[in-house]
Amino acid sequence: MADLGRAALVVSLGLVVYAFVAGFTAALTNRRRLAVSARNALFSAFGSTAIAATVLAVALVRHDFSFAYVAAHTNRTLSTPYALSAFWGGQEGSLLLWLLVLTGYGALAVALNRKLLRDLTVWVVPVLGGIASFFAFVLVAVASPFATQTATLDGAGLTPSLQNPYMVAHPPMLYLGYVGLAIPFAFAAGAMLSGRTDERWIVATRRWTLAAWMFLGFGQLLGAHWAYVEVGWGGYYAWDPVENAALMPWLAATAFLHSVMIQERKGMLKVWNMVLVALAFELSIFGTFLTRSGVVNSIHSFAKSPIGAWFLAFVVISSLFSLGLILWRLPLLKARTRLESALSREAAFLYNNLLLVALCLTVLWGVLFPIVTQLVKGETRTIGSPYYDFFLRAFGLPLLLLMGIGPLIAWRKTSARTLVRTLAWPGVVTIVCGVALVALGAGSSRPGLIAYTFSAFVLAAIALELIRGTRATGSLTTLISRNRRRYGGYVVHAAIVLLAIGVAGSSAYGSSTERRLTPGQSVSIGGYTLTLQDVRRRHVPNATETRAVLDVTGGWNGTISSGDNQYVNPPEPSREIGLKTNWLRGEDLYVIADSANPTTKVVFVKVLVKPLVNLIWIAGFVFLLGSAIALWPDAREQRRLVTRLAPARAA
Amino acid sequence: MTWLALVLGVGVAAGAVLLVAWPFLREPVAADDRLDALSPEEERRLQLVEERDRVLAALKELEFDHRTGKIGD
Repeated sequence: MADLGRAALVVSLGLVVYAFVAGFTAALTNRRRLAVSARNALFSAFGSTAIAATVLAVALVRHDFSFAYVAAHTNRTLSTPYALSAFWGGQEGSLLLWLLVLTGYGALAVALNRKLLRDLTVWVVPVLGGIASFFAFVLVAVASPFATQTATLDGAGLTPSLQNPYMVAHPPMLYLGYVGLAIPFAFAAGAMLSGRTDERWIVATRRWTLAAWMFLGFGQLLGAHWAYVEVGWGGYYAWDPVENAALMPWLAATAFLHSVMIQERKGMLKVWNMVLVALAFELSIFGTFLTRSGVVNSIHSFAKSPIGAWFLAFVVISSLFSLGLILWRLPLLKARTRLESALSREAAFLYNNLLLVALCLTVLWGVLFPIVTQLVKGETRTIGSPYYDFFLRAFGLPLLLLMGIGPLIAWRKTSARTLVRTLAWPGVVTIVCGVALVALGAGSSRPGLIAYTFSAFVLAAIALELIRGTRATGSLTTLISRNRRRYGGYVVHAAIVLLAIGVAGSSAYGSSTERRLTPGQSVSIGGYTLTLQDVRRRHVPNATETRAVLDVTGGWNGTISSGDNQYVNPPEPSREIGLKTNWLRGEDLYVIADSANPTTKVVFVKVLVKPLVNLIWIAGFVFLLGSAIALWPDAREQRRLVTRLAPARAA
Repeated sequence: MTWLALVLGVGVAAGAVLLVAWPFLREPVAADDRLDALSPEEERRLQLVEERDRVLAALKELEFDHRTGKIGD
């Protein structure tokens, strides 16, 4: 069946190249039938790519080791869900998933907008065709998932750390986000190519951007939880280049989602929005380059390969294309109005944008620094957590504060007197919380204290907004249904606050200790006492498990075990942490046992107490809820769009 | 299996070609093959409607901001 997969991919390549060439020709020469033909090619490309994806999925489930990809990433011991997750566990499968999502998203976005935005979609098709051509070419000519070999008895297996439920969901979630950013980019490029730089491309892609941003954000949280429970160093985010690769486009997309509201309301920031949408897309491709090239050291180094050069070339070409388009269309992108006051909602959005982009570029510089030093000095110098932590505090804390201030001030301008009156109640709540926190000992960490008090301010501001809005409209449901985007956004803000509290709590107020233990010896930390009971080893199918068993007393009474697994196929170790969530105390007890020796019964343990860390995971669900509210279809908005555009079409 | 793959592959390619060629098969000689671009008048109308919607939205926001106490009388 590999032949069918290969054939389907070749057909996909032919179709997307046709969509690219015929689409551009049709748009340039104003030919209707050719434009429809190009559009149909994009639709068909999704069908043929889906066939290729089905062939690979079937081969993975059937353990068909005549496929080199299946043999390299699975073995017979893998259950069906993990065998299927190998689809995105390797490079070739990941690229196929990318092409599948891209052609699927592209076909759907074009199909939904083909009537109302015909003049735009004529240009969107070739842009999407061009992007898809790159991925299809790489899949056909450079990294095919359908390479065959003489079938082996068993495969090499999936890296043990990837055999985790989070890894079944985390990568596809990120791909849905990365690839989703191609849709607003294609519509923005289509708007510039067609010279129709009004708001229609924004209205058409609003939900696509929001969905891509939601997937990217939630995908990162899933990855963070995977790192916390599986990688086992005691943290959840290590500023690894590949983690940063997902964070950067998310930050750019967050800035875009905010600044686009100014364009909709004031007709301002058109150039800025084009830059942001292009930046988000380019960073998503750059992220893949980082993941796949091996140009920087990363915990994701299992994915190294020579296709990085192709991605780098694509990033350079598409960046030049975007830049050229923006410069070409600058006269059409001029703002019609100006910022009236530095104390206004739009000014707050602007400050928010500057901070988000500054944070994004700071992270980008940190990621690029080893490459730059290698090129300039011939030696690789890496930037560590202190750099990122410093800028996260420098830009993140003011951002947190702005999340509270922004919603409370009016559009156009707010007088200083009104502002003081509006901020009074949240201000009082903040001061009371700050004093209470200092009294409770939170003053031991200044960034932690600031994060907590700012969080209290934002939550008070959101509560005040909801109370005032409910009073004005009569009910909370009426209030939310009248402006789902705004109130969905407030729920997302609440999620960011929970995230900030979780991050501040677990990093600024966490504690840890390390000790060498023999049976009967104890280690105490944060009200817990852990006594080593035994060091055990047992053999299970495909692995040897070594565990240090510790009795816990104090904050919680029970037994916790930690150690490592040594797998047979693939022959790799896996650290297995001990974790107890204490909901009463709002903290995690996290145990890492190293070098556990079942003969001498000696073990080196690291014990961490991580306050409020679970708020980070809860924030993920609140984030999803807020995004869902903002994404929910708005019939009134759709009717408005149809009545705005329909007479023009009928004329 | 190779034959089945070949037949399926040819089927996929043929289906795709048919769909791509469909606009020309359905309409071998088009009475008007031009894309229906907006006339300058329609473009102007769209701009005005967009501006009108923006102003209306701004007025609604203003009224809501007043009701929620963000702006005074």
